[in-house]
Amino acid sequence: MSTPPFPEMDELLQRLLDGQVLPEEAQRLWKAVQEDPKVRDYYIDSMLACAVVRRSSIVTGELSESDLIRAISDLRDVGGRRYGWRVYAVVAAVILACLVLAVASLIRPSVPKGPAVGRLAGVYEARWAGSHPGPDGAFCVGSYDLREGLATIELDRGTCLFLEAPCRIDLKGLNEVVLRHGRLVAMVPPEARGFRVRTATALITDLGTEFGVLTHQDGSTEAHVLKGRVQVALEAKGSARQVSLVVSEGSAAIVDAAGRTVRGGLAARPDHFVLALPQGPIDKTGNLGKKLNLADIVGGGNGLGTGALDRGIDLGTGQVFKGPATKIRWARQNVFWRTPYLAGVDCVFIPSRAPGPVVISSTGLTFPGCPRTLGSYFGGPTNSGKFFDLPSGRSHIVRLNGITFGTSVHPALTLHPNAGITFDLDQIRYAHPDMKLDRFTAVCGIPKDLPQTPFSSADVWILLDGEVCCHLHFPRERHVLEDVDVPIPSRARFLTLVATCPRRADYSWILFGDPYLRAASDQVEAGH
Amino acid sequence: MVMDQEERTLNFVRLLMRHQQEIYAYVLTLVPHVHDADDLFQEGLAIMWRKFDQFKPGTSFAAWGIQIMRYQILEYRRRLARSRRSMMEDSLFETLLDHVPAVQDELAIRIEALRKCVALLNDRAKRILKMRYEHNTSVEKIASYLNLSRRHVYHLLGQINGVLLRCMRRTLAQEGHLT
Repeated sequence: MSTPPFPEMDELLQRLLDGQVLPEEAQRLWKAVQEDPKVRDYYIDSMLACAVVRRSSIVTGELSESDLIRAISDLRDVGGRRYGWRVYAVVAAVILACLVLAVASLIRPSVPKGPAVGRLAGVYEARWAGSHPGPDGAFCVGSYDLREGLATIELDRGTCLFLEAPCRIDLKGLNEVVLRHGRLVAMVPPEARGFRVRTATALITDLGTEFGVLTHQDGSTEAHVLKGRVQVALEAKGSARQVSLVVSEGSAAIVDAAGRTVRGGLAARPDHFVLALPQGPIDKTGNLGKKLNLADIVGGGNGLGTGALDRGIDLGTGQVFKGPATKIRWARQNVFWRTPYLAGVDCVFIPSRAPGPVVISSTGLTFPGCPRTLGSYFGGPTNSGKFFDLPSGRSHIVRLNGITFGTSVHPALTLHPNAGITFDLDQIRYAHPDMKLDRFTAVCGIPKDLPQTPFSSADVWILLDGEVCCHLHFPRERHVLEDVDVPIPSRARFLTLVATCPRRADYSWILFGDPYLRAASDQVEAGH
Repeated sequence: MVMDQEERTLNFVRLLMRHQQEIYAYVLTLVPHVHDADDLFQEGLAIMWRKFDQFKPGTSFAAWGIQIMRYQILEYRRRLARSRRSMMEDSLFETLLDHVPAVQDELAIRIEALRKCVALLNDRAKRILKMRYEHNTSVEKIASYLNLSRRHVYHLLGQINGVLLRCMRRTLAQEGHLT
């Protein structure tokens, strides 16, 4: 029996599970279950399916041993309520102690002491909290807290550590670093073999390799081997039990939040880590010269920071809305809205599954190669670095390369598929007559420090006057980050950005970070 | 002594991780209301934990757990009868008691097939399941996020159920478990 024995039985069962059936519906169902063995089997299988999904791992990530242990700990407390006040007292004391420590650390930031064991080899937009590397870039034994950006530390035996914010480490010496929070990559030369990365739950020992380590908020640790091999062991914490696993190239292992199990056999995810400092548009131009912020224009500004943050264009109405959007909507037809109220923005549009041309400009330009989509959309292009995560119902501020986007320093244009926006470069030139537009630069991708949400693959298209000049593909569940650098000919009028998901998918947080129209460099020189 | 307690906890957790779906499926089939089933499962777990010393290693943990859950469910039905809340009729309840779980091994095979099928669902279906079952998001809220009616969300959940059952049957047939 693989089809429901009577129409709408599937739906009825779902409502039954929520107690949302009418008495007569329940009566009809129970009668059928009682009398017809096929209905009964279907009912039993349906309950089994619900049980598997509800008590399972595939959709949601494994229900870990630590979760269960925690649950059991809760169960142990049943009947022990007279000790409740003690628990509250302990919790209150811990919170108080944390507050005192936090205030103390603000008043008197800790300074790393001890011998220098390495030096700062490179930074990208780095901002440290508390202790900094020394003026000559020297790194001493001690604690470091990278709040923004990326940093590379070269230890004296040649080990290279790439830190991506937010990241807290305790540098213990030439052979060991403790990763308190965040993610790092260690590149260990043969002469430094045996280098260790310790976390709250795991000890990762180099066996001649490059590897990435990341810790989650719950304390679990992931070790991804990019080259060579590592040994991943449980952080023993006084227990005599020694459990370890050798993980080879291309594989990964996870230590659970309680530090009790290590699970191997997973594929390594190089996309979780930064393996080199970006040489992207920001560094290349050195932030010099005039540039216009396209996200600011979407926010109603002039490109120089006068626009409103978190303001966007609703693809359902073509009007301004306050982001981030919290609902998915669907368009049955290709949708097109002119936006005359926004200087510099020609139009917005939704490529849907409907046949027919996708119009991308007020002059009737089309995008013939635009893929058909589900027609779903999530708000619209927005001057923001925030996304609303549907499953958890929470907003998230995104980071790319350790940098928080959606700020005045690092603007962001969110473009959740399926959506398109066309900028009118002639209007922009008219508003900024002293500026000769030379190129469009940005970083584009899906942020990686996100909730564990199943993301769809996505495609980004950049067009000039209806011609595709850049196509980026973001595979499903892979956090790739791409530099965008599109030269703009002086005759070009329309710059179009489009984000699409394949037909049966519709959820992917596409973001353009630092989306700038830049002036030609010779003009910058002349301006100085 | 402390180590014994730790070992006991670990053993219990390992067995529970392996068999929780079988035990929960039993509860849900006889009490097809997720909140009540969750409460019963939780209460049953507390009893299983207290009585874990009585479990004989080498015997079926799922069968042992189901026995405990069975008493919990009967007690729950007695409470329900006293409060005059509507519930499944006794005759049907007894019919289902006779049929679930018919064979433990078969149940485990079906669960394994279903796990594979859940992994094959498309992104949208997974997302809806994630909202509904991981985050316990109410159907009203899911409907609001997706800009659909409540009824439509139930319809989608029903569709996913249908897809999973068809996939399970196909998988079982391919693996030679169904003729």
